[in-house]
Amino acid sequence: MFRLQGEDDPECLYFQEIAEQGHYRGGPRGRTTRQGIYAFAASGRLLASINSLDPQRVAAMLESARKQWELLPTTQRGLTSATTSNATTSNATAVEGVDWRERMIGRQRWEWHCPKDGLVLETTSRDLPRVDGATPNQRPGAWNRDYAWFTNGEAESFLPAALELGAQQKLPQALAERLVRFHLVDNVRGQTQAFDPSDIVTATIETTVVRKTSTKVHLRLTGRTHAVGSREWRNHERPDEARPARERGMVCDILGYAVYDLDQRAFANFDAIAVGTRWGAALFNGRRDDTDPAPIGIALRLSKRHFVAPAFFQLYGWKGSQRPGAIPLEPDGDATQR
Amino acid sequence: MGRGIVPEQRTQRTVALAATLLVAVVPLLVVACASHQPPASPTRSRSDVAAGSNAASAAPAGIASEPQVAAHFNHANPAIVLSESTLVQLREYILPGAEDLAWETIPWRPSLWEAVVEGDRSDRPILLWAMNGHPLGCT
Repeated sequence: MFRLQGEDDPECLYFQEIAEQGHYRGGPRGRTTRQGIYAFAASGRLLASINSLDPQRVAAMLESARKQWELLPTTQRGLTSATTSNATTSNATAVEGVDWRERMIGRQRWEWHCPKDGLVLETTSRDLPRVDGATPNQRPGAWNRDYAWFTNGEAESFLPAALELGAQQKLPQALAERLVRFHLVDNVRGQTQAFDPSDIVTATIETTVVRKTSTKVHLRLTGRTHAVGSREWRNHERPDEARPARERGMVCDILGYAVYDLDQRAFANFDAIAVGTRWGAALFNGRRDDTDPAPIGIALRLSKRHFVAPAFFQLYGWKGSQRPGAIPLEPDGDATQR
Repeated sequence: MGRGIVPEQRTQRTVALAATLLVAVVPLLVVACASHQPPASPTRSRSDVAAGSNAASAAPAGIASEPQVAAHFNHANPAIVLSESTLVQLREYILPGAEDLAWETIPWRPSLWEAVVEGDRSDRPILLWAMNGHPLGCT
């Protein structure tokens, strides 16, 4: 979303033309949010839009969009270069023999850099029961999802050098800290902030070989993490708005199991959870009135979903990931070596 | 981003309605924000988890359980103990249930432009769900 509302590649400009007809129209590009639910024709004609989590309001918007679509003449529905602005089409990279429609795919698609031969984990976060049985003051059933990526080399660093029963391996510090900074965070209620490197107090993750066959290595994962941040809140949309620095933190224990397939040189299973305590709030994570220490759980499981990049992928430090236009993206060195 | 509570019943009704309406559209998802209630399930009882009651071990067959992980690390709820005996139950509590994942029954496309081209070629409107964070997760 951040890319769509602020960048200038053809896909983004196309979206911005639609958003300018919608509920948040007006304001400088990329400086005001365009979040919401939009229904539109391929021609770029908006049918209806809303930014709401109220099911009834969303349903009404969908119904309105359906009626607008039926009223829209066929000649105004389709995608043509004439109905798409010059600003948009002129940003499409010309490729001989390729239809102009196909050329307008965005230049930045982080999922293009998914390490399909590495390790892709799906993370799920949720509040755990509180000590007195009290429920959170809002959205007690909230949960959230993100993804964690590891290159093939990084994935292999979970394995001890000697694949013998009882052999142990400490995950390279750079990888353990990456998990803590970007994936053991409080995003239960929504968008959160990553921890800074200096926020890390403890980041220890270890594996132990608990079973080995001719083709599979079974690992037990344990860990302990602790991060405390007090970075000043920043909101680029309202830079003049004062936000005092507040402490926020996470402490977690980790336990789980994984199976590595020696023939495939890939994980066949990965199933771990982090359980601990969170406190404080980030700018947008919905905790402003829920800052006292409270229990939280995060599940990390193997994922086959390769089209969603980690929320903080741009901070992974992979070469080119600040603006990943080049394909393929080569990791900027192996994090296991740092 | 702060979000209001979405009662489960209303959420289900809207998902059903969206699914009905979206038969004729190309749905596209840039970001999905889930805010559903965890499904009631006897296997992931809130009180059981709070009490740290026993559940089936997550250890692979044939593997002896390791000593309990030291779990009291200034936890806000000391009753929640991460151990071999609570691992499965805690995991099931955290993971989304079928009702949490009802929105996934809609065949969202993860790329805006791919959906636009598909909508153009099939003469269907496009539904875009776009939230800050990143695609398919409200982070």
